[in-house]
Amino acid sequence: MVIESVAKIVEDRPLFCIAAGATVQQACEVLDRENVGALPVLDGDRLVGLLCERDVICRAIGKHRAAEETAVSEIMTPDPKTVPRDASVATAMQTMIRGGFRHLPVMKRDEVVGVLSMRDIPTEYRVMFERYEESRSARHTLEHVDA
Amino acid sequence: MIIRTVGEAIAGRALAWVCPADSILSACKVLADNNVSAAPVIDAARLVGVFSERDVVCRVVLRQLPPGKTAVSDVMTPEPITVREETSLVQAMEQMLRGGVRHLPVIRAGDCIGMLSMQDIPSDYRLQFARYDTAPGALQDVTRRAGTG
Repeated sequence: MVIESVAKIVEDRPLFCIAAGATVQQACEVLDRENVGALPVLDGDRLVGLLCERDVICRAIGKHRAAEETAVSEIMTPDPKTVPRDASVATAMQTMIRGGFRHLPVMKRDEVVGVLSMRDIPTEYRVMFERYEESRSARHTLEHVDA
Repeated sequence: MIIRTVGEAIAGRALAWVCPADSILSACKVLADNNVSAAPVIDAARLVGVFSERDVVCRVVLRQLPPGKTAVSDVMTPEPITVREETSLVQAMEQMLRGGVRHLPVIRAGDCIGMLSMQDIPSDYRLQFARYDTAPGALQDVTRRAGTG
């Protein structure tokens, strides 16, 4: 089976979000209850950030901030990269690898409709991408030597 | 490249691990520095548990435990399911889905040599598993427990 667009991956999954003013404690309750690894952070209907387990580890616990007294907006990743719902899986993967993150909000115009996880990306795609990057950097080195 | 065994999937990866007596604070630093979501807990060369970001979210934050004064052993998952390095990725995936876990310590001759993550499993394998599993109800249950985030 070939998965062509990210919409096919996220369209049948429920979407869980958190308000920017909620506490880290409340966000962890949603992560726990819904068994997800990241939450889009909304201000009204607008996407303003992304909160993942890693943010809780590195920016709250690691920085001695109490989860029940810290707002999601203080530790979230603001203005996250997103992909449109008709983006290809390959494009979404490239965005995640180049940016060094594991979750990507999927958008239908200005509205979040899902979250794509690196876990959704077939490993073969990743291996092919890494090989492409390797060959690109090898070519760059050769060109540099020639010059 | 076709990756067939667990050992091939984790080859060349450095092992990030923590001690049961480490504080949650210092264990979180190990996860962050190594850019991993889970680490094996090793006591005198013996694997005694798995410590994950998920444990911090679900067991430290939700229970409001003090991260500087709580030990890894208090929140880790003890006696984890493991895989041997020569195990096939398909079998490892089945173990993760049926056990409801996202990480498996990899064992060689009794020692923990690495950590396999659900991220290492090709999505195609999971799709095929879903198609050929004969108990749809049971599958939905294990998939839900393994998580999608």
